[in-house]
Amino acid sequence: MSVLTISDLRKEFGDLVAVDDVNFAVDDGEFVSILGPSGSGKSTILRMIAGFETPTAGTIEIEGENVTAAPPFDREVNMVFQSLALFPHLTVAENIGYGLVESGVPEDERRERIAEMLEVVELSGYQDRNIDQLSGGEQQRVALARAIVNEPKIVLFDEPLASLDRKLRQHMQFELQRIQEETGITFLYVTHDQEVAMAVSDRMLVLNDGEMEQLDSVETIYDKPASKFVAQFIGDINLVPASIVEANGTDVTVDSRGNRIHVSDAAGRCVDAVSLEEGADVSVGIRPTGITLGDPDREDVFSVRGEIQNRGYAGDETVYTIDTEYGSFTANTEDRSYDIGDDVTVWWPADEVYLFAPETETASVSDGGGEP
Amino acid sequence: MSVANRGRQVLESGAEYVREHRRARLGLLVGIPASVLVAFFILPLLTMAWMSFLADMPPAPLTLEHYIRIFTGDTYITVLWRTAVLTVQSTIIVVVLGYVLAYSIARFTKRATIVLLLIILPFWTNYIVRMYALINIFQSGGVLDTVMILVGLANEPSGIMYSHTAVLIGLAYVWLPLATFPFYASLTNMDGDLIDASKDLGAGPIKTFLRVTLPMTKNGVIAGIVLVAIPAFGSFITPALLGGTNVLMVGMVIEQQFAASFNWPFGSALGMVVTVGVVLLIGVGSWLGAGGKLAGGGDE
Repeated sequence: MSVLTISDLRKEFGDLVAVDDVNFAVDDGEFVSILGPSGSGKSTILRMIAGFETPTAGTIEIEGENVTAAPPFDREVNMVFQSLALFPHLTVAENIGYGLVESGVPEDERRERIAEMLEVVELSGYQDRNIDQLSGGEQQRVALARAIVNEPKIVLFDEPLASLDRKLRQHMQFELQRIQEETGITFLYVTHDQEVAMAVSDRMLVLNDGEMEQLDSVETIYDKPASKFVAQFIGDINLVPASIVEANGTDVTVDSRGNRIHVSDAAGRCVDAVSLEEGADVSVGIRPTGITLGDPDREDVFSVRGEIQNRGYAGDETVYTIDTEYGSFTANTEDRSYDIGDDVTVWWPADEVYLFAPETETASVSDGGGEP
Repeated sequence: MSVANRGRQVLESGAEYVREHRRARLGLLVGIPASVLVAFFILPLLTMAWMSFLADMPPAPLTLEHYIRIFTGDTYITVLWRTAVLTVQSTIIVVVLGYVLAYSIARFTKRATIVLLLIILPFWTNYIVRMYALINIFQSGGVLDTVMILVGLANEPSGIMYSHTAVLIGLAYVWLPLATFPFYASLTNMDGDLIDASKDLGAGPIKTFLRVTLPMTKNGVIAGIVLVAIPAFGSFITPALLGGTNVLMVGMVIEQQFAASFNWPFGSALGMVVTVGVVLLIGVGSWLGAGGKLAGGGDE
């Protein structure tokens, strides 16, 4: 059952359309991320769900009840703010108990639930501490506890982890997942950080310029992006202009300046609405992780010569920037044997290929993208 | 070895140089304002304290008679009490009006700077001129009476001039801008997300104000109270012009002792009483600001 249903939600600030007719539903107990670059309208959606902004049009339903016009204090959602917004004049226990006081929970029960909640976020015994005595990570936990203790239908997150260093952020991601599983509360997490979104969520909603690009599982969004925007925003992608020279249904051969590759399941590799007619122009996309350096070890691959411009380490993988006739390519590989200035062959097989509408045309926006 | 020693010597003497000169700089920095304070504030205060125990203009023997005179007869107790009442009343009016004003500027005004400028503008007008403006409004047959009778709200002159009310309005009018600024500063310093967080957690606007906004701006409120209460307690021009002899405040009596009666020792004794009262007020204010809780902070 959907705990949250957003229908034709729209928000305009003067001439600016911040949120453009967005539709989606979130199931009970799901962990959904809203992912988009800054200014894509993701925080505005969150603030409308919380009740801090009034939609220009559209409805917000929580468990089937229309709350579009309800004030924030009459909605069963709680928010973890980007600034955390912990009350500095109250102790940890008073912060967590703030909502419980408002809903009239008696003091004994309150104390009990606060203690329980502190246990969940691993801050037992912190009741009487002041907020400014806590580290950044501890404050995050208090903010989370303050939202969850009220047992809301949905907890909204407005990029609260953005201010943490990488290691602590990764730790908090796991904590969020654990706490979400323990409590079973629906989490809706807004972020511009694809890494965080991919790490924590069941499903992701990708937002661009106020419009929904795709709502799907993390794997599907990475493997089958619904638009060029999604492909480029979720992980990197290299693009090569090409045209279709042979077409036999969805079995096509793509040519780019004499480099040919045979794609047998072209329909399944298409990201945009791509014409698969003979002679049609396309863009061939390839993920940095799909690229191999060195001489191809099989037939029917797309290969191009280039010179290593740069290399950097990202944990187990090395990220190379390679200057090719198509411009700059990015490749992620475990192969560390190349150095800056080396000439190298860059290649990829057909099953790593995505097909996009050609670069010159503006990428057509997917039609809402709402999946059932 | 000798090279190393020499190097260390140079380093040490360099460090010493910096240390000494930093002290010297600090001495200058603190010393100049401190000596100004001692010469023009501490010494006069001590002189006043000493003079308040003199029987007559110096040289004269020491006595407690002035204090006895203040606290035994009705006259000065009445004046002190009236002064306290007017101070408390005007402070309450100023705090309520000033807070509402500051809140609406901080939350709902786009051109806050211009509005703040308009609020401070009367401060650049001479105090006496502003008082005469109020006299024009309050006096019998003045603007207030004319308008009230014209509109039909009253049939005869209000007689507000030379009354407690006139002085109260005058004091509130004069000190309102001064209190608005600390309120405004503390309101704009407060993170607006805290208000959203409170509402998000189920508190309505009034509860949010009492549980978050007011406690968070407590220091600004206390600063505003102190800023208004102290000059109001010592004021003498406003009551003299708007209240006349009907509304004697302690500042007027002190002024008379120094300027008209030339009874400086008695004036000094009254001044000491006011000073001690004000110091107590500041003490309570900073105690509240440091640790004490203002209403609404607890679990209600």
